[in-house]
Amino acid sequence: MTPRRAWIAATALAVCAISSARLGAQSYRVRMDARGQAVSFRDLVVDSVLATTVVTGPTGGLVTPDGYAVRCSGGTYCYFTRPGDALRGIPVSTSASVILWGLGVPGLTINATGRLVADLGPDDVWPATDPAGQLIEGYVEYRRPSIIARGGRLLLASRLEPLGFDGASVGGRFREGSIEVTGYGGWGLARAAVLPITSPALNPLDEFRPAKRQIVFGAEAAWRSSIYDARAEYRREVDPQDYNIVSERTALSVGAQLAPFHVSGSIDYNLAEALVGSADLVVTYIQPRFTVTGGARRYKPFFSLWSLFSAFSPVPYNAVNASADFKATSRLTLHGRGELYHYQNAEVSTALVPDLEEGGWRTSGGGTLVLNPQWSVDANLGFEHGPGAASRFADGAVRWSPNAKYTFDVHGGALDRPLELRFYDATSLWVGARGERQFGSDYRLWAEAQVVHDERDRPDPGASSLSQFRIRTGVSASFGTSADRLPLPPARPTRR
Amino acid sequence: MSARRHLSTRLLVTAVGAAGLAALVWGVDALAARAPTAVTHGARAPEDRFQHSRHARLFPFCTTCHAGVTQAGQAVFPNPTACASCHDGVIQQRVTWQPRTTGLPTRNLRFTHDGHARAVTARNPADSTVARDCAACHNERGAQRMEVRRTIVNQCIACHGHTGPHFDLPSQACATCHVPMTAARSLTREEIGRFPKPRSHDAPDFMLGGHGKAARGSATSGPAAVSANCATCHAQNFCITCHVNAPESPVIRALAMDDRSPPYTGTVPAPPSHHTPTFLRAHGKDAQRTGANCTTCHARESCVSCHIGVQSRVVNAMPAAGPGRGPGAQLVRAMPASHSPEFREHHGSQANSRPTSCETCHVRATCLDCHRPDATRQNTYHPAQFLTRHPSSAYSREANCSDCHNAAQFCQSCHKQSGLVATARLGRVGYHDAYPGFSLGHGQAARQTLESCVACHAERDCTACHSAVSGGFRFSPHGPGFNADRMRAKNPTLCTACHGTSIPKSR
Repeated sequence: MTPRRAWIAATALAVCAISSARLGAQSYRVRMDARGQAVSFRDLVVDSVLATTVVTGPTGGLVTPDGYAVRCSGGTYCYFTRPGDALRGIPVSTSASVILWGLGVPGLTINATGRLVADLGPDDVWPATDPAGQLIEGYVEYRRPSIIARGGRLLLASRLEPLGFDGASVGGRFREGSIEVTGYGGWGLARAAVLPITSPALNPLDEFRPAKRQIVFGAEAAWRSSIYDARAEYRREVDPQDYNIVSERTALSVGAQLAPFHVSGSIDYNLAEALVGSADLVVTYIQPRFTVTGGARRYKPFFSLWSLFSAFSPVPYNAVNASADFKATSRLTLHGRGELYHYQNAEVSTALVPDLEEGGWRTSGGGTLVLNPQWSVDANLGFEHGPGAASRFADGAVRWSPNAKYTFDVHGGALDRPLELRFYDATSLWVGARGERQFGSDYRLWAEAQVVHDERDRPDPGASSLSQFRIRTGVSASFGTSADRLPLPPARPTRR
Repeated sequence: MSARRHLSTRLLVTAVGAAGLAALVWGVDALAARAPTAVTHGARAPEDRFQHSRHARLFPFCTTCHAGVTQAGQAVFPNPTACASCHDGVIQQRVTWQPRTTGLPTRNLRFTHDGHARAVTARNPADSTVARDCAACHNERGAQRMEVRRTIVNQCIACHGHTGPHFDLPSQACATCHVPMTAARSLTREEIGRFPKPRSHDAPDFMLGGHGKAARGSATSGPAAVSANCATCHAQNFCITCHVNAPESPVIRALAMDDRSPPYTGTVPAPPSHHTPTFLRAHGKDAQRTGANCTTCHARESCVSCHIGVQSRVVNAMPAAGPGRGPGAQLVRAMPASHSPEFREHHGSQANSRPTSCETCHVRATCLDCHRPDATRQNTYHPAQFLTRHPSSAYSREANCSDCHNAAQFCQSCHKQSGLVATARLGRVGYHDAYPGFSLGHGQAARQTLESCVACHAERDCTACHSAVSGGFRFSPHGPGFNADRMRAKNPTLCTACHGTSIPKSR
C-alpha cells in the first residue's frame, strides 16, 4: 500500500472510529487538525574521485577537475561533498484529540490523542513520518476530588522532561488539594517520542538499541499554599533484560508568588551518575506596563545509560539571562532579552583545534505596533554567538485582520549564519504570506506559502543550498456535545 | 402682459406650494404631537369622545350617568339608549356612542371606584362626601365641574401623601396605585416596553447594587420577597436577562414569569473590584469566599472561557447557563501578566511546581502541540524560519531540544536525509573542514556540545578510537565528573561496550 493510500485509509478509519466511539458515551469532544506541506530541497552527498585525478585549485588546495574541494588521506580515493539531486517531501498529518465522558460512572473519561502521518512525496524524506499511526496518549481516567487514576498510554508532564509510558498512575489529593502524591509505573517510551526505544523508526543511524523496552516507575509529591509551591520527583528506568539502571533521577521545583515578584526555580540530580543536572532560577517583576525577568541557569546534557554518551562526560554551562517587555504605548509593545553563558572546563587539550569557543551570548529584541484593530506590524532583530555557530537575523511581519473571520499576513526576514567548524557560512532571505479563515469558533482553515533563498559562502562548488519553496495548508476543527463549551452566549444581553 | 401673467402664475404656484408645504409640516407636527411618544404612559387610552362640558347643565350629578361608580351592581357608563332620548334626530342629531365594555380598572391600575370609595369612607367616616367627590380626581384645580379628564395622576399622588412628579416618586410608591405587571393581562408587550423609567433607576449605584436592595420585599421568601414596586413593571423574564442566579434568588423567584416582559437591553458594567490590577490573579480566592456573588453575572460558561482545563470546585459549583437563568457574562480570555513573550522560555519550572495553575487555562493538547510536535506542524514555539537558523540555538541548547524532539527521529533522520550524518570513517571526508585536524582535537567541542555531535554521529564513530577493545585506540573519553564506580554499579553493561569484561576498578 502506498503512503498516500495508507494515510487516506487511516484517516477515514480514525473518523469512523471516533464516530462509533461516541455512541457509547453521553458526551464527547473532538479536536482535529489536518495539515500538509510541500517542500523541495537538495541534500549533500559524499562522493569520491581517484586521487590521481585531483588538481590544485586556485587557492592552493586540492580540488576535483570540476572544482570541488577534496580531502585526500593518501589512499586511492579522495573524498568530497557535493549537492545532491533535488528531493521533494510532501508530509501530511491528521491529528485528533478525543474525550468521551458520561459513561455511566461519574468521573470516568476516555482520552485519546493520536495522529496519522505520511510523506506523500516521491522521495520519502520527511522525518518522523514512520509509522503512519502514532498514539500519543490513550487512557482511561477516573477522577474524583481526592483521587485521580489513569491507565493506558500516558504522557507525564515532569521537570525531568515529559515521559511517555504504557502503564498506570494513581494520585491522591489531600488537605483540599494542597498536598498531592502520585505514583506511576509501566513500560516506557523513548525520550520525546511516541514509540518505544526498540522501534526501528528511532534508529536511523543503525546504532545499538536495547532489546526490550525499559520499565519505568516513579513518584511525585507536591505541596501548594496560596503563595508557595513545591514539587519533588523521583524516576527510575530499568532495563528488563538485565535489570540494569537506565536512568535514575530526582528533581525539585519550587515557586513563589510574592506580588509583584514571581519566583520559580528547579534543579535535578542524576542519581545514577551522582551528578547535579540542570537547574534554573527565574525572578519576574510584573507591573501593568512592563515585565522584567532575570535569571540564572545551568544546562547539563542528559543521556540514558543504555547509550555510551553519558560516559563521555558532557560538561554543563552556566548562564545568566534577562528579558523585558514594555508597553510603550497602548499600541506599541517592545521586548528584548539577552543571555550570557560559559561552559565549565572540559579538561581537554585541543592543540590541533585552538581557540574553540568556550562560551557565548545571545540577544534579541523587537516590537509590535498595532496601527488599528485591523493592522499590526511586528519586527525583530537578534544576534547569537557561541560554540558551533553564530547568527544575525532580522525578521518582520505585517498582519491584516479585516474582520474576525479573516487574517492575512506577509512576513519576511534575513539571516546570516556562520558555522564555527565548517566553511559553510549561510545567508538566507525569505518572504512568505499566510491567510486564515475562521469558521465560527470551531473551524479554521489556513494556507501559507514561503520562498527561501539560501546562499552558502564557500570557495568551491560544494556549496549546497537550502533554497526552497514551501506551501503549507491545514484545517482545524473542534466539535462535540459539550454544552459547557463554546460558543458562549453574548456578553451583553441583546434584544430578544 | 404675457410676461406679467407668467409672473403671476409663478407667484400663485409658489404661494400655493408654500402653503401646501406649510400645511404638510403643520400637519405632520400636529400628528406627531397627538401621537403617543415613547415616554407617555403606555396604558393611556384614546380620549373619550363624549363632550362632558357641553352637557354640564343637563347632568347636575355625575352619578346620573355613572351610577356604577358608587353603587355596586350598577353600570359605570350609561346605556346608549339614554342618549337617544335627546339625540333622536329631531331634538338633537343622532349620535353613535358606545360605552367601554371593559370596566375599571383597565390596564395596570389597582383602582376601582367602589373599592376606592369604600376605602376612603372607611378612613374618613365623618366625611363620606370625599368618596363621592368626583372632581377630586377628575377635575384640574379651579376647573369647571364638567371639565373632566381621565384620572389626574398628580392628584392621586397628592392625596396619597406623596410629593413630586409621577415618575420621580420613590419606587416604593408604585404599588399604591398599580397592580403587578403580570396581573395586568390587557397590557401588550409593546405597551409594557414603553413604560417610562423612574428616575431612581438612573442613580449611579442602581445597576450594580441599588436595584437589588430596592427589590427586596417584606419577606425573605415567598411572593412577598420581592418589592411590589418592581413587580409593577417587571416580570422574572426581565431579571433573567442578566441574573445567572435567578433560580437561587428568592427575590427573583418571587416574580412571576411573563413573556410580555421585555428583556433588559442596556449594558452591564463590571463592578469596580474587577478593575483592580490584581483582580485577574486574585479572583479565584474571591470566588472561593464569595462565590454566590459571582453567580449574579457569571455562569460556569463564563469561567470556562478561560478555565478550560481541570475545573476547580469553585468553577464546578457555578451554575451552568440554562432555562431560567441568565446566559452569563461572556469573557475574553486574557493572558496573565506573567505570560510575557519570554515566558515560554522558562515556563517549565512554574509548570512543574504548580501544574494546577496551568490546568486552569490549558488542556493537555496545549502542551502536546509543542512537546509532541507532528511532522508537518507549523512552528509556534520557534521563530520564523527557525530551520535555517537552528544551528546556533541547538549547539548551545538555548532550550532543551529533547523536551520536544527525539534526537534520533528528528535530528538524525533529517540530517541523514540532508547528507550531514557521518557515513564513512571519521576524518576521511572532512566535513568539519574549518579545522583540518578536527578529528584529533574535537574533545572540547564534543564535551561542550555532545548532543549536537549525536545529531550526526553514531556511537561507533566514537568507539573507533575511544574503545579499549575491538581495535579501538583506547583514548579515554571520560572527563570531569565521571564516576566509574557509580556507573559500573548502576549499569555494568555500559562499561563492557568499550572495556569488554576487563572493566577497570576505577578511573
